[in-house]
Amino acid sequence: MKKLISLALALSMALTMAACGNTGKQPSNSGTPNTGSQTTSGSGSQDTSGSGSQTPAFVPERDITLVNPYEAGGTSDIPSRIYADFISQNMGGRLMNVNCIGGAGGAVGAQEVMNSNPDGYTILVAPAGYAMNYAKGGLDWTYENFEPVCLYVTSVLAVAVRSDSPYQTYQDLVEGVKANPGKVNMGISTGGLPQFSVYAMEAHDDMKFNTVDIGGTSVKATELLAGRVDVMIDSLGGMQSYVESGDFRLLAVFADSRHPAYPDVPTMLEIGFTEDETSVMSQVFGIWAPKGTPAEAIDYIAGQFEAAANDAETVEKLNAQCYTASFMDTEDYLGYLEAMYASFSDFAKTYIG
Amino acid sequence: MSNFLEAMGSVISPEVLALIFVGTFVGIIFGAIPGLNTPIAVALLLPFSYKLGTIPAMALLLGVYMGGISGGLVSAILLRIPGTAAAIATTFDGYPMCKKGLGAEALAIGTFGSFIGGTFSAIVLAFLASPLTKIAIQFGPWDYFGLMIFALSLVSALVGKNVLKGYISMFIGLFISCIGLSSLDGLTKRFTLGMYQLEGGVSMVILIIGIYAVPEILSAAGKLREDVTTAHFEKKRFYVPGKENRGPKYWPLMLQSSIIGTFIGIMPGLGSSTGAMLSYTAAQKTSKNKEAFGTGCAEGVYASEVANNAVTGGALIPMLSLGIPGDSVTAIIMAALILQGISVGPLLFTQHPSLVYVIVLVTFFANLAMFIIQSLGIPLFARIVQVPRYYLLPLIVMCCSIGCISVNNRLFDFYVIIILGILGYALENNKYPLPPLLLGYILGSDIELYLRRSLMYYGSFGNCMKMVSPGTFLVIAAVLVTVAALVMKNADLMDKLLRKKAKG
Repeated sequence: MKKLISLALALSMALTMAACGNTGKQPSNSGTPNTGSQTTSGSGSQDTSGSGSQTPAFVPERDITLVNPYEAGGTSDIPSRIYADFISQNMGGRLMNVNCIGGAGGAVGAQEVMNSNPDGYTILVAPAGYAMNYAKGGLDWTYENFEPVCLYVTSVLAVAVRSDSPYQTYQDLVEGVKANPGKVNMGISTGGLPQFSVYAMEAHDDMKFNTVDIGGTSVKATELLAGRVDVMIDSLGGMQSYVESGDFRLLAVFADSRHPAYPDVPTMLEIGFTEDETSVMSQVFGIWAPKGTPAEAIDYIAGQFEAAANDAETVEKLNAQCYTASFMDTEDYLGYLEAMYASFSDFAKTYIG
Repeated sequence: MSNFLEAMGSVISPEVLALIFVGTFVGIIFGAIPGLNTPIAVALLLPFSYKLGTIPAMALLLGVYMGGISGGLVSAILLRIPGTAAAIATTFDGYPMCKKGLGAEALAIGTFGSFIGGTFSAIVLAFLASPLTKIAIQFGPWDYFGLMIFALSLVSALVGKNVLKGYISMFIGLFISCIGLSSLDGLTKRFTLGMYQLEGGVSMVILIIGIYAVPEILSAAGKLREDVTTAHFEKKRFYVPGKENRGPKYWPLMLQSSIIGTFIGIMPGLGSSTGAMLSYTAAQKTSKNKEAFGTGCAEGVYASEVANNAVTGGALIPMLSLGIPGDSVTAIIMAALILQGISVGPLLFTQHPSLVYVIVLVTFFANLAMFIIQSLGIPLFARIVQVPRYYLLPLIVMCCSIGCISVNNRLFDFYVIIILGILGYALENNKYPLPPLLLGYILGSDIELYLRRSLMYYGSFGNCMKMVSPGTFLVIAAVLVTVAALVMKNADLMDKLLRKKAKG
């Protein structure tokens, strides 16, 4: 019987551990955050400067859950964890936990956050891909169904070929594709940002790739390593180790300026693309909260991310993975989202019809 | 060599060894509880690992990984509820063994098998990582499709006596795998009935609990007053399989299962559940006593447990040599390394040679720890079946519920479990075998994904079939296996049909 008890103890230990890891996510019925009676639900404009002085500031009473709508270890997970690690040290003993709810190209995690308590304890990592999928008709909600909090990290997409590829420059690639329309295999993850980049590239030079899906996980590099695709578009962070090892060669980066780590690789703007064309090619991650989240909570979270984006160690960790800590406050981010959604839908109308 | 010694020195420290034991222990617990699984355990411990150094972090996470994959066998054997997806195939023979009163023996066999499989793959990881990765990446989507279709054709090993019911069960599994957004493009919502929660599909944990655990609990609840199954076990401190269950006659099977498991592990994107399932069906096909499978034979337990732990070392191979995770757990372990500031990629071997050895050594020690902890724990585990069911069942229900909440933290999954439970109960009581359903479910979405990718790459199915590649041969083999199995198993059915036709 003693042994049975010890087993039961072991089980309960494990369960408590499991429960601890998730406490932030469980919708609380008992604990009401001390954000006062004032609600700002529905107010689209974020007049955040005034609210701070009148209402008590938001102090987290529980852990905050940052929902990453993709699988653990992916492109959106790593910068989120780097941020969450720093923020957890500054929340008065409370933590920011990253919870990965993957599935359906990020739609499941977003829906979960959309339907969770708007109390500031559940927030979402929102990639630019949501704007793209909305423009394509794959989603029926936008940032307007949430309370956007801030933009916190950007990453750079790049075009890469194998180092033994005949394409030395982006122009070589264009000529190669024009000479063999529909024959050059272009690897992208379907539903991701690179899909629009390919449309833009095809439209700009009037050429046609054979676009193939190489998946959204870190497995995709195998396809170019093995030569089953001739060229691929992915985040620079996902490809840098192969560039360093000499397996891949970069032809272009999708950024406003050359990347400090790769000063020899031209940007798409230098190659001759207009800003309109490249506007749909930058990977940005923002934070969204459920509609109706109090402004104090939004301010608090935005402030935490701003502090993290200014922390030298966090910046260094991000840079090592080819991410850029670019913070944008709630107001600027709203404007940015508006413009981004507009350019994606213009783009979809022009190129996909 | 100096790298190896350096790695040995850093692994054999009290802190690292203790973390390996702690990690393995936590992994076994998470593995043994239905619904909690290895990815959840690793993801939960990931934040803790930031604070540790790189080597202690690897010790902890790899311990959880090895322990978790093996721990699933406990509930699979004793309760017929696989603790993790990796242990699904262990239930096929493990539970019948337990029913015969050989529960402790089955646990010992499973534990020993896990140790053999894990150690085999750790050795492969140590010596053959680079060359095997070079081979593995040559397999493209068409070859994956061929492999998956071939694995599906092996369902004939699982369908049992009633072929028709077996195949119906398999198609139900394939159907369940279709629920959610269409794979690859995510543009079509399939069978979601307007519920967004179904857009991500039915997750494997939910399916296992629903199809396996709930019907088992329901049927056990109907027999509360009957005698409890008593596991016969001798009082021993340390359990190893009995002499009749570990002789040289099992060596070929262990080798075969180790190779299958390691191979599946190396292939990026395929996990331990596929490895164990494939190994089990292959073992049944190649065994001399095919009939014994499914009735509680040691071979069946070995086939599943050797292979699922062999996957672990295999899955680390592409991660270490190319920065490509072999399965979902290694993806998180890779993230842990990245968060430690180590860039995982093709240069890992040159930039951090001793780290690679550390990982190999930790893998080896974690397998040893798993073997010791589980072998010592067998008398404890085996007591589970001696607990009166009216105490045990509520506990299992509670564990399963917590498990299912931990998947997505939402109540919706409960309803899915109840519906799947009713389905599972109806199927069980009408003698539809469940293993084909699980095989269909595990392979279904991969089959579709890789077929659609192949079509994108090569244009048409005809073009794919014209290629001289392993994929093409496997597709042909799959057709042959299926036809042969149907003809053989249906000899009398065919007879009857022919006679009817002749009469008519």
